[in-house]
Amino acid sequence: MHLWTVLTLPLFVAAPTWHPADRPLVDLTIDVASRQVRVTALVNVKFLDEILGTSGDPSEAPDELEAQALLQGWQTLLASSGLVTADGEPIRPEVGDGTVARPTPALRAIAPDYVRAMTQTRFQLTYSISEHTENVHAGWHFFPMHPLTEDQNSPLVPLVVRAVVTRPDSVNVLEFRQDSARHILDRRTPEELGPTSRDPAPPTPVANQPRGISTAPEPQPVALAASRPAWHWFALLIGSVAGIALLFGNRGSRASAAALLLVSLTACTHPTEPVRLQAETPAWHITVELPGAPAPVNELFGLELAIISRDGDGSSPAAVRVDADMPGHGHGMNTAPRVVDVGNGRWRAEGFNFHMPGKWEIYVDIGTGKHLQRATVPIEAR
Amino acid sequence: MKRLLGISCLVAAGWLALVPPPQLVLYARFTAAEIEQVTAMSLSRTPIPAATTNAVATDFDAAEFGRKLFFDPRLSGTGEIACADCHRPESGFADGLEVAQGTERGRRNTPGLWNVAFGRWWNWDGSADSLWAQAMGPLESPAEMAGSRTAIARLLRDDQILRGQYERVFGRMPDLHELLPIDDERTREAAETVEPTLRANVTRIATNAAKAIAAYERTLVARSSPFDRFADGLARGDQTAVDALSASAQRGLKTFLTKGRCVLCHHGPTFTDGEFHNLGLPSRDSDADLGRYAGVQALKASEYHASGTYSDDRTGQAAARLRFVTQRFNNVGEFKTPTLRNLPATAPYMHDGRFVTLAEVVRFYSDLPAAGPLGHREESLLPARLDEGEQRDLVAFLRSLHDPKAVALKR
Repeated sequence: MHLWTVLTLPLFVAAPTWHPADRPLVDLTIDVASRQVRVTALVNVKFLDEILGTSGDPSEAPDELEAQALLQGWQTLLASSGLVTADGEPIRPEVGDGTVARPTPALRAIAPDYVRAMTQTRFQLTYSISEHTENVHAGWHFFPMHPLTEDQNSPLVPLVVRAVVTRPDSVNVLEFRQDSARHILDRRTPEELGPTSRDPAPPTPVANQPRGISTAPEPQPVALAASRPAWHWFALLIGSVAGIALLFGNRGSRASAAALLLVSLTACTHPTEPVRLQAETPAWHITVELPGAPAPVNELFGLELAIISRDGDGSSPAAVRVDADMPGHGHGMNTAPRVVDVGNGRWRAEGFNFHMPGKWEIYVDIGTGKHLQRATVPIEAR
Repeated sequence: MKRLLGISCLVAAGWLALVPPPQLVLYARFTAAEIEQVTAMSLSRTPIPAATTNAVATDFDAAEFGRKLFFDPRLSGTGEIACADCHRPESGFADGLEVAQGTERGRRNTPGLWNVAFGRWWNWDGSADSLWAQAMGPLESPAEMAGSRTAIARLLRDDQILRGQYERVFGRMPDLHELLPIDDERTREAAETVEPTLRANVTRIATNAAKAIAAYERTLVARSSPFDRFADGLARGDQTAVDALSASAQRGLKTFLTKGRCVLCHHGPTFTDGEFHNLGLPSRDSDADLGRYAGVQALKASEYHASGTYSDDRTGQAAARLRFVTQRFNNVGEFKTPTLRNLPATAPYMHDGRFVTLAEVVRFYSDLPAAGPLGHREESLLPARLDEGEQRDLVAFLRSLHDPKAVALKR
C-alpha cells in the first residue's frame, strides 16, 4: 500500500463537451507509483488566437482543419517552452492529441459574436518526475480580465498555472507564469501560504465537538448589558456642559460652551472622511482616494487616482483601468468601473460596488503601449 | 434661576452617567459587533428605496389602480391569468409550485412579493432593473401571461372604469386611433411593424400600467417579524421585545452569523446582497439555465430599462448601475440571492424550486454536495457542517423572519 495518495480536484469534466469557463482550466494528476504527471488543460480559442497571432470569423467556430492547426501550434509552443517542476527539475512533456468543443446552441444564440472565442481546446501533457510528489491539492490557472481592453481574457496579463503540493512538512505552491516563456516557481511554507478559500475546514468528529449552547438540553440564558443608545451620550454631554456653564460661567464662557456643543454635534454627524491609500508598481506611484474606509457594502462609489512616474520624468500613463476582486471568493464585482482622465495626473473611476462584506482588492492597471503594470490596494468592505 | 437650572442639568447628567444599562437575557452569546450587525438588520426603520424611474411609485391612486390590474385576468392573452394567479396573496404572493405555471410550464420558481420594493435587480437573473420593468416581463412573455402591450392599451381604452383610473394618475390617454388586430400583436417583432407614434403611445400606456402595478407592489411591506422586534429590542434594551425571538431562533441567528456564514450573502435588512452567485446546483434539465449571464444580456437589450425611453429618470442611480453592469462568463449559472424574509409562505425554495422544506435548504448548505458542471461555484461556499441541533435552530431562525401579520390590500 502506498503511503502517498493522490488527490485531485477536477476542475472540469474530461468529456469533450463545452464547459462554461471564462478562463483556462487545468486538471493535474500525479501518479505517485510511476511518478507520471498528467496535465489536462482547457483553453479557449480566444487565448490561442492571442498567443499564436491567429484570427478568424468571430461568429463561427473553427472547422476541424483549423482547429487541428491551432492545437498543433499550442502543442509546439508548450513542448518548446522549457517547463520546470516545483523541485526545479526540467521536464519535457509529451503533448497528446487535442479535442475541440464548440459552444452549445443556446450560448451561440446569446453571444453570436463570441462563438470563435468560446470554442475550447483540450489536450494533455504527460511527463515523468524523478522525485515523488505526494498530494496535489488543486490545479487552477487563469487569465484575469485584461484591464486595458474590453476583453474578458487576454494573454497580455501573464498566464498563471497554480497547484498546491502538500508534503508532510511543507506546502509548496507551484506557480507557472507564462511571461515571455519564463516560468517562475514559488515555494512557500504552510504559514506563508495561510488558509486558502478552497480548503474546507477539516471535519471534526461530532462526538469530540463541544456541543455549545445550540444543543444544550435546556435553554441557557446569557445576561448582556444593553448598549447605550447614541442619544444617551448626547444628553450626558449636553447636561454636563450646560450645567457647568450655567453654574460657573460668564456670558463669554456660556457662548463658548454652546459653540463647543455645536461643534461636537456637527463632528458626530460629519460624513466619513476620505481615505488615501498608497500603492506602487516598478514605474508608477499611485495614490487612491476612497470616500471612506472600510468601503461601503452594496453602494455604488467612485475613487480618485493620482498617478506619478517614479522616474520623476513627468510622463503619464497611456491608459488606466481599474477593477476589484475578492481573492478569497474567486470572484470580483458585478460591475465594470470606468475611468476618466481628469488631467494633472489624476483619474476619476466610477462604478465600484462591493456587494459582499469582507476582504477586497482594488486593482489599478497602468499601461504604456503593450507594457502593463498592476498595483493592488487591499481594502475591507463592511 | 440660572443656578437652579445649572444644578438640574448636572443632576440629570449625573443620573445618566450612573444609571446602569438595562440587562438583557439572551439565549446565545453575541459579541458587541454581532449585536451591532443584528440591530442594523431590522427592517422596521428601513425606508423603502426610492424608485425614480417610476414617477408614480408613491402615488396612492396609482397603487389603487395597480391593485385592480394586479388581480385582473384580462391583462393576459388568454383572459384567464392575472398577476395574482402566480403571486397569490395567501401564499406570500408566490404560487407554492416548484416552477411557475403560466400559459406554459416555466423553468424557475415564482418568488414571493413581500418587500419586493427593496430590490435592486428583479427576476432570478436580474433581467429587470425596476419593479415596473419586471412587471412588463410576465405580461408579454408567451410562456407566462402571453399578453401584449396593444391588448393592454385597448383594454384600458375601452374599459371605462380602468380608463378613469388611468387618466386620474397619468392624465389624458394618448390617441390610439386604430390598433392592430389582436392576433398579430403577440410578438415584439409584430409590434415593430406598427406605425411608430402609435407604437410609442401603446407602449407608454402599457408601461404606465406596469408602473401602477409596481406602485401597488411597493405597498407590500412586511417589517414586523419576530426578528425585527428582537433587533429593535436589542437596540433599545427592551427585554419584552427581545423575547419575541425564541431561544432556538436566537441560537440559529448566532449560527447564521458565524459558523453557517449565511450572512456573507444574506446581509442587511432584506437578508440579501441583491447580487448573483453560483451555488453549483446541478442543472435539472438538459437545456442548462445560464442565469445572470443571459440576464445581463436581456437587461441591456430591454427597452424598459432605466436608461430607456419609458424610464422617468434616465440619468439617476438606477441608470448609473445599469451603465456599470457588464456581462462576464462567470455570470454563467449565477442566480440572485433571494431575500430570506417570509419564507414559510413561499416554499418550495431555490431558483428552480428543488427544495420543498427549509430543512432541506439548510442541509444543502451544511453538506454542500459536489458542484454541478455549470459555471464556477462561489468559492466562499464551504460545507457549514452543522449538527442536527444547529440545523434545527437555523430553521427556527429563518422562520422568525416571517411576518404573519402583514396585511396586503387585496382584490
